[in-house]
Amino acid sequence: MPKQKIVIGILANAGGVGKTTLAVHLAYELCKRSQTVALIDLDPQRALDVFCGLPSAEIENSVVRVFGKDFDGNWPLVSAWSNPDIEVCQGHPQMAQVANDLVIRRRGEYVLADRLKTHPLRHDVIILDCPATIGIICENAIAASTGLLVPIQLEMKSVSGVADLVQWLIGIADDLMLDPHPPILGLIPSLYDNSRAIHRQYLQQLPEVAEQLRVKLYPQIRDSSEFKNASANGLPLQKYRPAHPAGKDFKTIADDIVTLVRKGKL
Amino acid sequence: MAKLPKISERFTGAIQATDQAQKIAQLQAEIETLRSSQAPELEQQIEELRKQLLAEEGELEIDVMAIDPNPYQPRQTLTTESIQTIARSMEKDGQIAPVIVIAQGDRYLLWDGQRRWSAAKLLGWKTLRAVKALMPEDLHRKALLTFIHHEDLNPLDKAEAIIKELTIATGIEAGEIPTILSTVLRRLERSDQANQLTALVTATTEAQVSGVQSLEVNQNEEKILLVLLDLALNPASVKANLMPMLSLPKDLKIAIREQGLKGAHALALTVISAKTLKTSERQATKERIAATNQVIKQELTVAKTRELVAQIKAKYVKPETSQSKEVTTVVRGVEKLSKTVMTSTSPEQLTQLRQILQQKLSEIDEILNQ
Repeated sequence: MPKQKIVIGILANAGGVGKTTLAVHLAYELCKRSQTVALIDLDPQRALDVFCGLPSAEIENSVVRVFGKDFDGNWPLVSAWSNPDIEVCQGHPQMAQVANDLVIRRRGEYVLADRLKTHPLRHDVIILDCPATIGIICENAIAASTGLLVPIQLEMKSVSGVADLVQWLIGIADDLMLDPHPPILGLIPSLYDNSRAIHRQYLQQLPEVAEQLRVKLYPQIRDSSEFKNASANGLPLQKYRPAHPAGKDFKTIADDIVTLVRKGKL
Repeated sequence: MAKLPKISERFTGAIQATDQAQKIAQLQAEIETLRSSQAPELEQQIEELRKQLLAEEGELEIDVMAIDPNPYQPRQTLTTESIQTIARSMEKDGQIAPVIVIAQGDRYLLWDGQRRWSAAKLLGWKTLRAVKALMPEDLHRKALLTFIHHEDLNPLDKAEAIIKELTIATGIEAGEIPTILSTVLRRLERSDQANQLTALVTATTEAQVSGVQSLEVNQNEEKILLVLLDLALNPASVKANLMPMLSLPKDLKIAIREQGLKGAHALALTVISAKTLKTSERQATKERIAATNQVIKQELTVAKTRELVAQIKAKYVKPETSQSKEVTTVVRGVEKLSKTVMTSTSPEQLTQLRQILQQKLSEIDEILNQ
């Protein structure tokens, strides 16, 4: 039997805290380390399209098709930045409706996991960009994931969201009878602005919390207007401004995931 | 500027949940270790038998269609779900353990591997790997002993298997057995000897025989009690937990066999009957089936099931009214309250009495006018 793929769910339970930024830049870093990556956009807001410079997909060429009952295994994938090793399964606003339908569907929480099992993707790593609010789409992501990454902005809204998320995760993994429970691979402080007192203060408090949650804490990703400029151009920062120091903020995470891939392949 | 709140306070719940999950995982690991270190039990016994047979005769490839199910298989209930689970695993990983069969002419009787056999048929397999065993003399009894103490046997199958064994061993008719059993147990309870009987469950066969004889029971009662004790079953618990399964309505029996309804839940649900609801048989069955489905779907506890049953009952039957002793006492007391007594009572107390009487009067009016 082939080894299980690495499937990373990116969850935050708050909007605008850097989920898609993390997904895109992590994918790019992994690719630099000779990994093939699939990005799946589960968010009806389909921000991934913007970050990857892709025109919006028609519904039949989007992830909605994968959730369809008659999915034939033909994943709708397009490559990002003309790089054949990074492919995107594009999102669609219709996913909001799909979420409603999943609630009453048999194995509704496991559709994505079932699809990945029956029709496996060829990629080494699959990254799931999730909607900002917890719900059945996120449950699908959790059931399909081998590990989770949680970006956390050091402001109360995001912090509270993450606190609730962690608690919810434990319950939901039990409810879905996931064995093993997909672990949180790490908390990632995002949009970090060293000039803000609240950011500095909360960054200091975070290690203790992470330790009590038994979760790894990654180095922070700095806030930079260049991230915004890069995404406006549909590029990852590493490609848009190769020399920019923020591009290196994803290094540790990418290295860890490559280690996971290698372990999985041994 | 006010001090910023600490983020750790927001995480109290999450940290508690994490700790709890950790503890549960530890406990589960402990249970696993305990379980494997304790009773080596059934699976291991069968495994040994399999090894032994494999060494003696080697493995055979047997035509699935040449296998007959064991009529004495007490596990009458095999849910489609459990067969599908096995089928999936067999499809993925192949047949891991050979089934055990007993040769009978040119056909084979299935001794162990009911689910693998059913799954093979489901998968359309032509043959199964098998090892051959010799025909045991008391096939039913051995199968029964193997399975009776197996926890996934449901109480209905268990009850039927026990009745079957009792009829074979005692020659008493199946229909009479529950009556004989409950008669003798009631008598022993009245004469305070029930505990003596229970103590015999774990005793040696000789001690069981002399113990039962000392209880002064008649011949048929003795036979039944001895067979149960010999199977390491407590007669009182057979009577209380298993015998009632036999007289369950058909829909509840089906729910036990096919949907995994538990015995205690089934007993609670039997209260929904034409007799207690004072309605037609058809209507009562309809209510019972709906309630059964709810119990299974929502995984209700026994207590919650009883609550549900009570709610349904209340829909049909108004709570009964009866003579109340308290009211009789009050009526007498008020009658006794003579004018002489009242004349010599302080006005404050009389006012109080009037107030209470008026209040009660309006309450009574309210109830009577309903």
